[in-house]
Amino acid sequence: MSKSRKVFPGDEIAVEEEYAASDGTFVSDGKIYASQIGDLVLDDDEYTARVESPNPPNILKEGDIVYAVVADIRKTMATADVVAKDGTERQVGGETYATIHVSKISPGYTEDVSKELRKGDFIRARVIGIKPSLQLTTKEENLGVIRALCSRCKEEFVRKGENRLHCEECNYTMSRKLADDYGDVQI
Amino acid sequence: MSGTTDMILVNKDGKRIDGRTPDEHRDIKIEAGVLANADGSAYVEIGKNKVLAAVYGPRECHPRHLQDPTKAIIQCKYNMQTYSVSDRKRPGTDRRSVEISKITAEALEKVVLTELYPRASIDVYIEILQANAGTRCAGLTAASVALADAGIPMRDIVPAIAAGKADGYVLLDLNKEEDNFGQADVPMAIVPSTNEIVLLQMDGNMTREEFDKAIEMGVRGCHDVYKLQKEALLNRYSDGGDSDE
Amino acid sequence: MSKKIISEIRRDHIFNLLKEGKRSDGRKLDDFREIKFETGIIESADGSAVVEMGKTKVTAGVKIIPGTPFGDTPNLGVLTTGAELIPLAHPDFESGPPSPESIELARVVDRGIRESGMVDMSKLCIKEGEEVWMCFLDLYAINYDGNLFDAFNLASVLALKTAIIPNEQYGKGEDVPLPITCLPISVTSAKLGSSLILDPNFDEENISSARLTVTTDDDGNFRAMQKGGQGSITLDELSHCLDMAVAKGEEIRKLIG
Repeated sequence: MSKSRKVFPGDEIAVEEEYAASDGTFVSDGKIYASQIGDLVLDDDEYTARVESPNPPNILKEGDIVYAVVADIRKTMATADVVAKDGTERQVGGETYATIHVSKISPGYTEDVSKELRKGDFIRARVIGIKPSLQLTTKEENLGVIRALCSRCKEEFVRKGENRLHCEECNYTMSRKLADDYGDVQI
Repeated sequence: MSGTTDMILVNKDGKRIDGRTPDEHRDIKIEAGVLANADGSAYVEIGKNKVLAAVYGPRECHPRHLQDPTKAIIQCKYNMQTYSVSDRKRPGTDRRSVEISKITAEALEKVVLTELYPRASIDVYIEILQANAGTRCAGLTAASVALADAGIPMRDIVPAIAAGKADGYVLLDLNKEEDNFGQADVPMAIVPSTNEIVLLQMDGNMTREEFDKAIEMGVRGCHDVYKLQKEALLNRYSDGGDSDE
Repeated sequence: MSKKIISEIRRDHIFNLLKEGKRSDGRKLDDFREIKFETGIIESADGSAVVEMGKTKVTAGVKIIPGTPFGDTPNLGVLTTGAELIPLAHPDFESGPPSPESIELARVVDRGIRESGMVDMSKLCIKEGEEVWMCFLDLYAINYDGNLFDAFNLASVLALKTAIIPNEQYGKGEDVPLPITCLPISVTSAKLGSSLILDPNFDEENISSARLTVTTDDDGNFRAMQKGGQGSITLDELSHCLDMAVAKGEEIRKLIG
């Protein structure tokens, strides 16, 4: 139950009496206008007017898969800087500083955050909250560490077993919450 | 505006040296989405002007002290390439480009819904590849298309064009000779839906009557540019173009 | 910065492919991306060119202006090369004074042109000790996806090759083509692990340990080189780079005629 046509910023698309203004629109004097170029969707079931932009700003929302670098390890959480959203090359706009609570790192019980994640690790994670701050989880199979360097000699860790990493240079072994494609990540 | 010449810029039939009538703009070509890395981009030719614009953002604001907790800021950088003018331009920023960058950002500020992206920056880069009078208007016209191409929420798309005066005639969209040897130059930009003016400069010598005529001509010229801006965006997004580019 | 981190994340996959002699965009190790070019794009310049290598796009323009020769070369013209990595070309590029990267790019391109004698500087003398033609070659990145060395080199060669000395503009007679003696072509090899590849894209360039730019002349002789990056190159690798530079240089020279 929706109609679609191409609209431009500033085009009047509906009146507030009939529709609620949604994504890609703005309201002025009771009228709804497009704020982005895209396809107009007047949803007659939900009574919303929105514009589907073909190239929207990259603002994170719940459910998004992101790539991040672990910034710090604390007692009950890790912090990370989000560098990209899966499926787009566009830089992330808005907040990129995220937290991962100890209970959201792996499917099992996590006693020590530093046995699952370490500072400098590259991770793939899912956004589970955006307010009041960005929150991530790495619980799922394809989430977790995707690239890590040996904390002793900075050589690249090789996967050895489900959640273990091994350094072939100095023979050091550490545990991590690994994503299932560690060692051959394609993005 | 400074020079003098024996050249007849407008003949007694009201024809200009490039064959245009007083209220006619030069050929305008606009293309949206021309750069792979930028979030939005546009290429504009107005007569012999060749201009590229790129937009990044909303993205993290650098330098951080410019961040505004209530809205995004628009940072604009207008740059003339060294070989864009007849004498080689020294590379780097000069006072003229700083001023043009500032008024361009301010003109765009009026239409961009900056309140949606607190603390972020929307960065606009304008490169003049070839200059032939009217680069600031071509640059702003390109920047507006690049912003729309980048999906930046806006109240409207801003077009810009100059009016002016040469040989006593009020003219639209001055070319190089008219700009150099004419009597006035009035670059302007408007919000098409309301005809509000968001950029206006003037130098030279005009009566009230001439100025009113220039504004009227400029507003009509802006609406012509606006049509071409929309066409460019439609071309970009109607043939299933790749939105990530 | 974020794009470089993404290159890091892609590192494992790119290296896994290289072990099988493959690249992520389907090229062979010594393949260039498709090269497109056009000259005479800027009327206000005395010579100009745009070059595309895949998604890398650059422009070059030459301004030729009368000026005073250097004291030690009173009868020779002057070549000055500048390169700008403008923010329009990549989200990580910043405006401001030239970065070390852009200065190195300009100097390596300049060296290839200068040392090959591409422009016959002795024919650029207007009045010995007083006036010579000065060639200002300016390079701009328009879209950056790796290998600016070779893209800038090619754009420079094309802009100079089609440049005109603007005698008329300065009341010195008729316009004539800039005197050109040869076409110096640079070929840059990048080292990833133990593999050497040509024409690296952005990701490949970022995870490479070293690169070597080799510029050859029409006879396949070497005219300029520059090693870059923190890694090293073995003597065997060097030999391979030189072979590739000669072979590929020949191909590219044919392409631009």
